[in-house]
Amino acid sequence: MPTVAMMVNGKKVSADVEPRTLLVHYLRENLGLTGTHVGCDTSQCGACVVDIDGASVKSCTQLAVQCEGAHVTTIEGLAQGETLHPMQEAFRENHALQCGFCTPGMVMSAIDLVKRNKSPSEREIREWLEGNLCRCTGYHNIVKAIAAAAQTMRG
Amino acid sequence: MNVAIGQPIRRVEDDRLLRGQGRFLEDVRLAHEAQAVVLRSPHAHAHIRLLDPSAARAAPGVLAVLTHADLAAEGVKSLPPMTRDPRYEIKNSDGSRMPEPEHWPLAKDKVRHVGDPVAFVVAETRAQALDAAALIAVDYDPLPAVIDAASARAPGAPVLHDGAPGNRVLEWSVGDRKATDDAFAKAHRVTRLKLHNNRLICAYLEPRAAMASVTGDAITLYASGQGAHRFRETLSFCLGVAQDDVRVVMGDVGGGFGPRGFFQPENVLVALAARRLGRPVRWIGDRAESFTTDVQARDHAIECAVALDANGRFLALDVSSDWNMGAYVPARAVFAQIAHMGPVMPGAYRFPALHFTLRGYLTNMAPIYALRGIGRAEASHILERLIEEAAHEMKLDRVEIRRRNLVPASAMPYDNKAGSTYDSGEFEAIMDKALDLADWRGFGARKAQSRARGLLRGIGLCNFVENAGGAPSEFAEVKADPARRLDLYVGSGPSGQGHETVYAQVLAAELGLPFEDVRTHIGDTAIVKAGYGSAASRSMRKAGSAVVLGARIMIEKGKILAGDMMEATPADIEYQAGWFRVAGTDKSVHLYDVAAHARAKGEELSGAIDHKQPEETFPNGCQVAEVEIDPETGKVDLVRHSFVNDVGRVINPLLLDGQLHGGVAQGIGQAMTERTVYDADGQLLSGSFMDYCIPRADDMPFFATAFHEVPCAGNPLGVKGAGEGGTTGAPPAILNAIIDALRDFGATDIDMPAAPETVWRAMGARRPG
Repeated sequence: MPTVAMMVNGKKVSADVEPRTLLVHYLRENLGLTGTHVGCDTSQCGACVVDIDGASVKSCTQLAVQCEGAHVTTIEGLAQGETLHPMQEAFRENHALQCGFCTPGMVMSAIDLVKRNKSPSEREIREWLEGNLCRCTGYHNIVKAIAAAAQTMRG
Repeated sequence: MNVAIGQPIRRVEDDRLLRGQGRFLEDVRLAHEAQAVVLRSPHAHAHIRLLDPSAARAAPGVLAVLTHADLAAEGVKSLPPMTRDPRYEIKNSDGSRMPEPEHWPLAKDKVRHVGDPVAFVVAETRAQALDAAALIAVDYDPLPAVIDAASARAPGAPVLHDGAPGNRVLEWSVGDRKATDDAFAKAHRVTRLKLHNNRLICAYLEPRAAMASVTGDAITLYASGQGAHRFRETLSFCLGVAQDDVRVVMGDVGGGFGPRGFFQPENVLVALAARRLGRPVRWIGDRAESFTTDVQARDHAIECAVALDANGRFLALDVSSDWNMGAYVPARAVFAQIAHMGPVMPGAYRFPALHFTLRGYLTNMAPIYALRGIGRAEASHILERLIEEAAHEMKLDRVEIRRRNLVPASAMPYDNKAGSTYDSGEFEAIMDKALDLADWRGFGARKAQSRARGLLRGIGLCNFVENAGGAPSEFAEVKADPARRLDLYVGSGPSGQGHETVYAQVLAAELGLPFEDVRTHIGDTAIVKAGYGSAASRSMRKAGSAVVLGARIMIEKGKILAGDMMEATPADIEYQAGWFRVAGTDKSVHLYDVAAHARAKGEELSGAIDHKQPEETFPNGCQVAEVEIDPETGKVDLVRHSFVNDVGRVINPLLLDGQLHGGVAQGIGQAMTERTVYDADGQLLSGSFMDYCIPRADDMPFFATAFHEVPCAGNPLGVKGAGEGGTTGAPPAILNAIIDALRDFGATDIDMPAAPETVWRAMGARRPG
């Protein structure tokens, strides 16, 4: 089994993994980071989105061994202690989550959007979320939360 | 923080869910777990001639392979259909009992839909279990499949279950046949429609899963459902063990919407395997299994007609539905359909006569169950499409025809002749509010602007009344802890609604104590003494009421204890905001000190109630949809959606809005994007998120919502129920808007979902190009 080493949420980790191990399974099973969820098997739902070297990626479409040397951030790596990331805080404030299953992927994806586009319009937010499914909220409060977080993050 | 009813409290659930610290079933890890997979039928309908698991049993890492023979050897019972439960007994209109098709957790001799479970393979790793499942020899003898009600009842059709000749499960009706026929005979006009209420797949985001561990006789089932105690009851029934020997634990649940209330076969299988192996067994389903084997919803072929007089007043309504129920009859599915479709068939309108017949047929598709808005969504579809076409045929204004027929507020309480008595409702005021919110009057100008851009524009509305019902009782217990804490135990569990927050809000407001004092305990039968679960928009009505009443019981008990402490008679003691005070004096003790006093005496300052509240309530509302359509492609853009709702008293407007938005979004899915397709052989063609389209963020606008509170007198909180109005009212409002946009093309109806191709075809010969 090959050894893979990467930085996850600022910590150096390494393990021997089967080559076919998906990143999402490595995160969940090996590292116990269960905030990254698996909601489908066709890479549509986006519950597994994490940040790899500054870009949002569906961790179900990436092999763990492809992430050798990469910096990976998961939902668990966003808050600074008690203080939530502005995107997490905006989701809380705007009631942008109900069951919470899609939420980690939504938050990770939204942070990437705001990194690329500091003032996304409603339309741009909605189109960006094409790859993130939510069955509870009707997206209304998610779109509001992302717009609000973008404003906070602009400062 | 002091809180009140009606305040938009932020949720206590969110911190853990936002940090990735939620405890969904797949996140739970037990020591020495074994991993299971289910071998499923590739055929829609087949006899099993041979089932040989010997090669799989000998495969590396395999711990057990269960088939129906193992279930039989252990005396496992079939999943209980509802007619075995006298609480939910429903008889056919001729007085006969419904057939009771068996539903085995693993198929016995025959498979009846694609995905029907055949064997359960348990191994050290999931990969080993998957490899071993491929080694099981199954010899199927395929049979022809029936995939709709019409083919199910055709002479010579293959029969799914021996006990259900002609594949018919039920024929049930409500109303007055003769009065309805007489009214139609003398009508000025009759409008008829044939509708299909499309089959839906719930697609909650967390796929199904189940896990069990066994110690001695004690079985713990980790499940993802809508109520722990119901699952305990069913598991103990299936395994033939005492309920006391079964503990059910539910953590965070990734969406429920009704189908998660169904006790899935895998719950029995993990428990059985864990008992046999003496170690925990985990089964995690994948999305493909969800598509083929989650219980599905709706699927009614409907014929309906409305009779009107010359002034557009309704004389009678006549509806019949052939319901495609799929391969089995999940417990309570028929009860929920009947309880929520017939009794609200007339909706917000006066019908002097009506009749409704529901016929249910078994087919080789996944079984049907309750989904958000069950029955009411079908009823509003029927009613509002009929009214829309009647107005068109009679050249009456669409709002005016509704106004002429709405039940006036002055008629409350109102017997709707279909089995419901509406306690309250201001339907006309709500419609007017919705029309204002939607700027109905300004539509003409917006249509002109669309036309200038080469686009069609339409607007439509839907008035609806739903009946929120569900099992009659719910449990709550309040305990005051001397460590300045309130422990609240509630039987009805959430799947995203925010129960932990709103129950705590209700309790803190009732007692006048800080919100932060409350710890809410839900979802574990070892911790919560009793309960039922979330269904039929019942949790705030029934569990919320139980919280209030449990708190009041605790206060009465507290008055006795406080009287003890202050040497006063309980009748002289008043309670307010945490303090028991001897009336007219400055003598007082705090509730938490009373709790300490109780504790010192070996007692508990607590109040518990299994609150029975069988009366239904009638949430109602009006939705207005506005669409823009590209005539070149048939693509529909929902550009505005407005919704005024009477859910009774509003507890938390932030969470309530969330319920409305989510409900509308599921209604948008039914109306515009979601199509379940089985081919003639019973193969599911829409078996992934690529093929079955649940709405995306760019399929909808921001919603405009408003409340119109008419408190319900039937419960201490004055609430009516909020979960299902969105799903009930959205589809007909959207369809009416689309048809409005397509009137110039001669369109008079459109099938759901109104996907671009369907809309483009509906424009007929007059479409551009």
